[in-house]
Amino acid sequence: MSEAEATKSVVTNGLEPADLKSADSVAKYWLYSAILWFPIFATFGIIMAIKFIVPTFLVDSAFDTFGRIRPAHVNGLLFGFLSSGLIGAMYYVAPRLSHVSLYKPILGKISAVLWNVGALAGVLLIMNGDTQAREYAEFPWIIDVMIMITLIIIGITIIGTIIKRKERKIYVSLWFFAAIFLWFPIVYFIGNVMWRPPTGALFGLSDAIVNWFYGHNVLGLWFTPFGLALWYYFIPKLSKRALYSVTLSLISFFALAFFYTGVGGHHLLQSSIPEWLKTIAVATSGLMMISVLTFATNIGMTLRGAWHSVWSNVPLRFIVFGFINYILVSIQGTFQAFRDMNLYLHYSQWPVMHSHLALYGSFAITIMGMMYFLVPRLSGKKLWSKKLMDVSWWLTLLGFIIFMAGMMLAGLVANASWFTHQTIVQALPTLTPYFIVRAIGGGIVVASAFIFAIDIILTIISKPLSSLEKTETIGGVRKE
Amino acid sequence: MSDAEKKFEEELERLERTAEKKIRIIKKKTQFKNLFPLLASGVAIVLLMISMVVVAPYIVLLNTSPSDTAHVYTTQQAEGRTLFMNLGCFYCHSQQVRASDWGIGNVSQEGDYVYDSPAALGTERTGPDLAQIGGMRPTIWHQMHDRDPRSVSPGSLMPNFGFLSDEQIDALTAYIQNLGQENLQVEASITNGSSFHPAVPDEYVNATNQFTPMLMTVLAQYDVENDVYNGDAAFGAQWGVLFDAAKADYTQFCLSCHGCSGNGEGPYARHVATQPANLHERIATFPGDSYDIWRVSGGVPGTAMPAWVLTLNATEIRLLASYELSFVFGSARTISGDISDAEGDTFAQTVLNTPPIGGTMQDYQSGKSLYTLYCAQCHGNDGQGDGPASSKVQGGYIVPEPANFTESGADFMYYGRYVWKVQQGVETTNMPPWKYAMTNTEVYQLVFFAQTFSTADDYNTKWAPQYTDQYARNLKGGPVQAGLFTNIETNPVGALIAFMAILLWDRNFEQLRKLYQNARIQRPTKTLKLWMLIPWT
Repeated sequence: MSEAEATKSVVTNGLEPADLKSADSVAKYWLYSAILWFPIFATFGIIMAIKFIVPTFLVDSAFDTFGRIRPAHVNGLLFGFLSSGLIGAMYYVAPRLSHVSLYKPILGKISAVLWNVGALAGVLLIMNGDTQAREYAEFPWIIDVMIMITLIIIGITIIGTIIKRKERKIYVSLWFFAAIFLWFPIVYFIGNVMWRPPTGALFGLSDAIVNWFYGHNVLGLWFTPFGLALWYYFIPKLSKRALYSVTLSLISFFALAFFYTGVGGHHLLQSSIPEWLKTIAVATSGLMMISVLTFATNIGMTLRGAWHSVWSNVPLRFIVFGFINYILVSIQGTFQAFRDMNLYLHYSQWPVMHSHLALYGSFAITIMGMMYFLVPRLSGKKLWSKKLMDVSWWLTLLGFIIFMAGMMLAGLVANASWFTHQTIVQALPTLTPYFIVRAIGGGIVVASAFIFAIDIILTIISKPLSSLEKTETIGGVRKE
Repeated sequence: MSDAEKKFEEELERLERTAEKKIRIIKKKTQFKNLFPLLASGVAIVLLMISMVVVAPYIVLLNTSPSDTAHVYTTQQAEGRTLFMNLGCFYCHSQQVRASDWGIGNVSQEGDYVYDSPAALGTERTGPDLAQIGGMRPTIWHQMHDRDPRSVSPGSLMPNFGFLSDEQIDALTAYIQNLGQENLQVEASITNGSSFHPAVPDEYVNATNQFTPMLMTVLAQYDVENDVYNGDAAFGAQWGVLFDAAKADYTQFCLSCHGCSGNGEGPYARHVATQPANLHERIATFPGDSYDIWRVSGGVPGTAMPAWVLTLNATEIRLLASYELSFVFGSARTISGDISDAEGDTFAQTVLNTPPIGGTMQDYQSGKSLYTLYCAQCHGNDGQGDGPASSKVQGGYIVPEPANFTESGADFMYYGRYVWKVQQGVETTNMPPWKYAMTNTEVYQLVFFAQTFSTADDYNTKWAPQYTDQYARNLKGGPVQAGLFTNIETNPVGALIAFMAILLWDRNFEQLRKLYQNARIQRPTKTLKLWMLIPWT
């Protein structure tokens, strides 16, 4: 594929603004609703970090104990912030790549409302104790139903858009968008055991297996394909380079679909699930590297000669940082899934660091970058403050490093203690310094989240620009 | 341009066209224009993987049976479990003992979670693993800990659950205390004063021993006074075969700790921290067959008693359990001793009727050690069948009476029969088949030692001539009549003269002392005697 051709298929030439207006309003619904989830539920994280240092902090009622705050933090950020942000960006990207207006935009708006109401109600129910008590699948059955309906509605709009597309070639991002909404409803239905409404759980080890199949595929068949699709779109677009290879992206697509689906068992390597299932989990976790490395090669080769734009363009900087973290977390995950590594690292704060590296490091930071890029475009306004955007970048980077280091050290120290047969009660007091480091790092991360949210909100409510200004100053891209 | 060149050019052009065409095809293929095949294959491989990692394990695990610690929750425990899950306790407390974990219980098995929905294996351990916490701490500790964790565990990071009602704390504690419930039932039965023995777990509670009725039938028809079995001979023979099979297993697996007489004084007993059970005393207090079967099958936690279910099948375990009862009731001789005598004679005639060992001092010494270790508890230190376990003495229980080696009875007619009885044991008595515990040489040495219990005449006529070594030949004075220097321990004149002779012959006192000591220990040999008579040589 020639560069010009590729650029043409990636960039949204040939579409009238009117065609995109409906899609952009749906994208606004999703992206705007995502904004507040981030700072609020990141604050829940800092509350937990403080609880690790001052255990009597907020223990007066059930809803503010650690056991309730943690699922609220996880579900609020996963379903509230990350999913909304990624779906919003998808509504921006999909019609542009299909060269057509969105199919049934009203459904898209309904889905945004349903999803946010559902996620908020789910989080409140969890904090009230109405939880199914399975990690990542805590939402009660009624919320599961709402989410399933929403997923199907979104699927209809997206697959409908792709089917009625005018650009015949289907760009790689669109494969993922279409496939996600076929994969994830299946995964969500099985993982939440939706055919058993009262408990939403099976009995015994089967339940653990299904739980972790789902738990890992929230990442593997929901966030990761979204992330890949959006990196496939935004990195070539913002760095003004054509995608390096379609064949590589094809390999990464199918490798992801096959191998990522099977890795859930690596959460249970130390339990008594069937050994062959552990072997499948370890093997697929290793083979997952095929998907990751083809993707990394593809994006890396795409970026060659364009790294200066990563530095000069702040939204792209966020997005590429997210991409790098994705590669890191995938390599880390593969090694953690090997039996001996897993034996050592299991049960400590290290896996907590791992999941933050994935969900915060790659997806949340990517979404921050995309919002800085998209919100001015969608609202037709100038970004309220580029300085704040810069500040939020530096705070993100600094906070991220301190935050990760704290958890990683706490994990390694705990693992080393346990490995020398110290009990948890003996090892726990030695971790306090690392918990303090984590709380400091987490505090900086939360500060950056607030600055991000303030900047975006002030952008949205600021005065509209004249059409002349629009053409010149929109977006976070600095004019060279 | 020549024709050849033209041809070459054309060929080149053709090739280039083909290559371009191929590239176009590849490009066409890699640039998907049709959504359906891509999505269909994408969904198909996801479903394939789901069938492998979700559906297949689900089917495999359908037949999981509950483990010893798993049981249906009581209403209160279920309430406690709901609280445990709703309050998110499982985010910090795992319920999964890994093979690599140390000192927190048995490795968790799939059967542990059978009644759990959802399962709470956990992902992170900020607090201790709770899989088998039940009974490890008093209930009041848990209640205080739940309300204010730092009141009992200073370094704890757990939130205070003081906002819970008393009923909720009780439910939560009831759930926590049932995890790994085995310990709890011991505590309960001790506090109730009902029994020293813990309750039999569900898995074994209905276990029965099909051999118990047979044993009872045999015992009912057995005249202990006269060692006569009055019942059906065929039934007796059938019982005899089962009994001996059980005895063979006992010799191989149990004897090393529990001893051949079941008194818990086997050779290995002194090396284990917890005294092995005295099967004579203990079994009589066992609550029933199910208890016995459970203890043999499951082993005894905290002791060296292994879980024999790993080694033996259910029938063997039940047979063993019924064999142990012979240490309480005695064993019924349902098979005549004549049969084993005849077998022993056949062995003597066809295989072995003279000692394969020379009968040296070393043979005697090791025979003596083995006898003390294995035989003395029944046959007595002096070989008169009056060891502490023998029914000959007060408090003894081994019936029929163990053999008396000082008698020159029929059992000791031939060397081969002697060896045969030691190696194969004696049918339907507690005499074990020692071939499972000793090597052939050890048996020969043991037999040699046991033979020395017989009277001097008997020994000198029957056994001494069969040995080649002078030590054995002269052990009881030898075929030659006793003289001045025999039995110097009891012959002070002989001893004094011998001592003086040695003193005169060699002035190396240290060596002399040794020699004299040896002479005392070994009893004077013929060589020594002659040598003493002519000290000047």
